[in-house]
Parts: sequence; structure tokens; C-alpha cells
Amino acid sequence: MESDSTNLNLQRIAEIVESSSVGFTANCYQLYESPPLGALVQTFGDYPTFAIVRGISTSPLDPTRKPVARARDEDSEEAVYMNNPQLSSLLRTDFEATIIGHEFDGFMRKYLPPHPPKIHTFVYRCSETTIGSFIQNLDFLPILFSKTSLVTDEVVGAFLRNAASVHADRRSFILSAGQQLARLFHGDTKRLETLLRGLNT
Amino acid sequence: MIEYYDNMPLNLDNVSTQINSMSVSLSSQHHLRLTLIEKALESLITLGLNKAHAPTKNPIEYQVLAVDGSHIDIDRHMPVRCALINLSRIVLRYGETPFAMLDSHPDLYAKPEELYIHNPDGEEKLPLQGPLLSLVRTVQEASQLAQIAEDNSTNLPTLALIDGSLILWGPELSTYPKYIRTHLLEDGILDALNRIQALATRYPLAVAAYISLPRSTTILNSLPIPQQVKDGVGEITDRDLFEQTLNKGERSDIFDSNSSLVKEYYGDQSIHFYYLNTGDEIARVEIPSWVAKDQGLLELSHSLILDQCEKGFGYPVAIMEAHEQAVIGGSDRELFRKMVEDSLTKHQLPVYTSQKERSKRLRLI
Repeated sequence: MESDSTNLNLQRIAEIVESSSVGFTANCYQLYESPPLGALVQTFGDYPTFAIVRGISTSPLDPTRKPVARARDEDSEEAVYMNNPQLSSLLRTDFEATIIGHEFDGFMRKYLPPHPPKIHTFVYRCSETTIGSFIQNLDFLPILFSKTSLVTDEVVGAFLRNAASVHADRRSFILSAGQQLARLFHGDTKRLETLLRGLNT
Repeated sequence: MIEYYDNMPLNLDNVSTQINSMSVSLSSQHHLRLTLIEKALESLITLGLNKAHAPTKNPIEYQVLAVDGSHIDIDRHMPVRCALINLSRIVLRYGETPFAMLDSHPDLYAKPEELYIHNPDGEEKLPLQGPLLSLVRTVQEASQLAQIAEDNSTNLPTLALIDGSLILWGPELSTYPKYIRTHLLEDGILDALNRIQALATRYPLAVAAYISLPRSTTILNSLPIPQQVKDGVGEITDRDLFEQTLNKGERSDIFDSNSSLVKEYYGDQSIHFYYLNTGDEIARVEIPSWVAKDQGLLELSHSLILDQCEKGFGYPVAIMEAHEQAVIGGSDRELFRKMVEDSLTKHQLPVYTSQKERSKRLRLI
């Protein structure tokens, strides 16, 4: 796999502002332009890392300044931003991602990297080809359900649906994901049922 | 000297009693105050100074530029003599393609040639601290405004806004030697205004200073009101008069500044002003003569300030953001001190601080 980001036509979307072994928070370059919940993102550097977006938030850059309602005399929500161009500079969109693997010696490793990415590491959206390679087998699913991952079942559902949509054989992918989930949650039928329903939606 | 009545830093019970006495005293003067305002208003009307001008429709596409500054003065309790000036730059564009630039830039003054203003024709110099540093900061704000007006030349109607006054004021100014006044005025604020005026020949650009809650009494003092009516009334200001004559959105006539400094030094950039009812308060807007004489630019300043106030919940958005970008808060001031100390330590330089400062910081029990 190509690890030199400059040779890849990938969309750079954010920069890491908090980092730990299990995940990171990234600050998006554009307000509201975060990858969707459950999206697979990647970083490069010493330990190219793969992570799943588990939460997105937009808040004031300065936490002591609170946004207030501005649209009482406006016709649309867009007009608020048109008439207050400073808003885009005063708000920030961040997303939190859980690390589910990394690349080492040219192979995808479906376990945590030895070191987390550095602060200010660039974050890219994964191409469909990368997503396709990553989901060739689903042995990373236990990481997602570990206590430290903080990934909710909702996010796993979003990730698997997204993965299914880019898989060459959607039906067989869903079937295989369902079997994997059944193996992990055979003792918790209620949760399994919710997960399977999320997978098929 | 500080006297302690209690173990608490501020005895609020005691303060509350004193505040109450203050309110009782003001309340007894209130009817006298209303009488004075009424008399002043009659006089204003007789002299024909009560005219109100409605705003023109503001352009949908426009640009507003603003600056503000904040500084850390030289502190004798610090281990080194240095000052910091932080200047902000704001560009806001409205219309089809909205745009915003909000930033700030700090400058450290630490070298001997930076910490003094030198007389170019002699040996004299004055240290850049206290009131002189404040004046230099104000001049730098004006120069910064001229710079962003140059950097953002456009065909859009543009308003360049300053928070406060276009008149460099301070009782000290007249006491400074001539080379300091030249530095601050001719080479400073007047040079900045000249640069903005030159740009205004290329695109529709008005410059104005916005004073919220003005305390000036220029018009009031010019009215023939007997002194006995004024006695014992307490403070009333021009604002109290124009509150009565201006409806929401309207501005007063243009008046000349009576500042001796303006008369003596400002020349072609002589300062004029009008009062404006923004809907939330009576503000004082100062403009140079070339804006006052150009009906288009005058109306532009009026309508755009109103629009800025409306967008900013009663205060011009651009000035508010300029302040937010420029302000150096308490924790940043403490961090600055720490960074200076750390840097000196790193370079094996002696770090000492006054015991008074250390005591204030540690607050040991």
C-alpha cells in the first residue's frame, strides 16, 4: 500500500488535536465538513493508522463565547451564515475517531499501533479501494466492541452499512458481518438483534 | 493604605449601604436633571441643532474593516524591560460571496531602540511606557486600518472602523516634546488617515470611529444655559439631548470637534462628529472632514454602522470581533510573564522578580 500521502489523490479533511493509543480528536478544516458517523479515515507518518469516526461535534472556538439565536428576522438558516460571515471563523467542527488498525511492513494490521499519531497529523478520508481492502476480513470487529473503543452499536451499524455499499458483493458482505456479530454476541440475543437490524437498514 | 474590617476581601454589606446612599442622592437630583435636559433641548431647537437625518438604504454587498489593540506595559516587577502590543485585523464581506478574516499579531518591544522614541534631530528620547505606550498603540491601530484598507481594495462600498476616537487625546499629549507629537500625529494617525483618504479616491471607502456610551458635552457646553440651572444637577451629556431628538436609525447634523489638538494639528483631516441612535443607544461617530463633506461617504458611514449594530445586537460586529481578537486576558498576561521567565532561564540569564509580585502570585496562607 502507498504510504506517501503526496502521491495519493486523497481528500485531506482534518488535523489531529488530541491523540491517544485508542483514538484521536481531529479538527476539520471546514466548518461542518466532517466525514459522516461510521466513516473510515486514515493518517500517514511512522504508523499509518486507520480509524472509525465515532462522534462529531461543532462548538465555539472560544468556549466562553456562546452562540445565540440570530434568525428571528431571517428567511432561512443559510441567511444567518450569509449575513454573519464571521461565524465560520468562530465555530469549529471536530470529530472523534477510534483507532482500529494500522499499516506496518506494507500490511494492514487490525490491531492498535505501537504509538498513537502525533498532534497535527493530517487526517484523510479513505478511498473506496482502501475501504474495500480493509473489510476483506472483519477480524477488527472485537476492537470496536472493546470497552476502550467508546464506539456505540449505532456507529458500528453505520460503518458496516457504509462498508457494504462499497463492497463488490454487498449481500455476501452483510451475511459475513452478520455471522461475525452472531459469534461475538451469541449470549446477548437482544443486542445481536439490534445490531443485525442496524446492518440491514 | 488598605484597612481591613473583616477577614473577607470586600465587605459587601458595607458596600451595599454606600450604594444605597448614592442612589438616594441621585434620585433627589432627578427632577433637576430633567429640567436641565428640557431647557437644553429648548435651546438646541432654537439654534436649529436638533435636525435628524434618516439613514439611506444600506448596500447589500459591502465590506467592513476594523482593528483594535491591547498591550502589556513595561512592568518594573518583571525580570526584564519589555512591552507587548497585540493588534487585530478584521475584514468582513457581506453579499453574494460572504467572507471573513479575523486575526491578530503580537509585537514584542524589548530592544533599546524599540523601547524609546528617539528625537531624530537630537539625543533626546522618551521611554515607551504608560500613557505614551497607549498613544503609540492607538496610532498603530490607525496604521493597521490603513494597511488592511490597502490590502483589501475592492469595488465594494467599504467602511473602515475604529473603536474609540480619531482624536489622539490625553492630557499628556500637549506636554510631550515636539518630536513625540510629530511621531504620534503627522507621522502617525494623520499619516494613516491620509493613506485611507488616498484609497478613497479609488473605491468607495469611508472611515469612522465609533464611541459607545459617549460622555462628551461638546454641544451641551455650546448652549446658552445659565450656570444656576446646571448647578447641583450632576452630570448630563450630549447623549441625554440627542436621545430626545433622534429616532431609531437617525443621525444628528454634523458638528465640528472643538478639540484644540484637532484645530492645531489635524489640518485637512479635521475631525467632525454626529450622534446616532442605533436603536439601543446614542453613539458618537467621528469622521474626518473628507468623509463629512462627501454625502455618499457620510451616508455610507451612517447606514453601515447601523447595519453593523443590528447584526451585532446593538454594537458593531466588526469592532466586537476586533476586540475579541486583540484582547489580552488575565491568563494570557500571566502566561506571557512565565514565557519571558522560562526563556531567560533557558538562556542562563538571571531571573528575578519583585517580592511583591511573588507574594501576590503565591498568596500563601
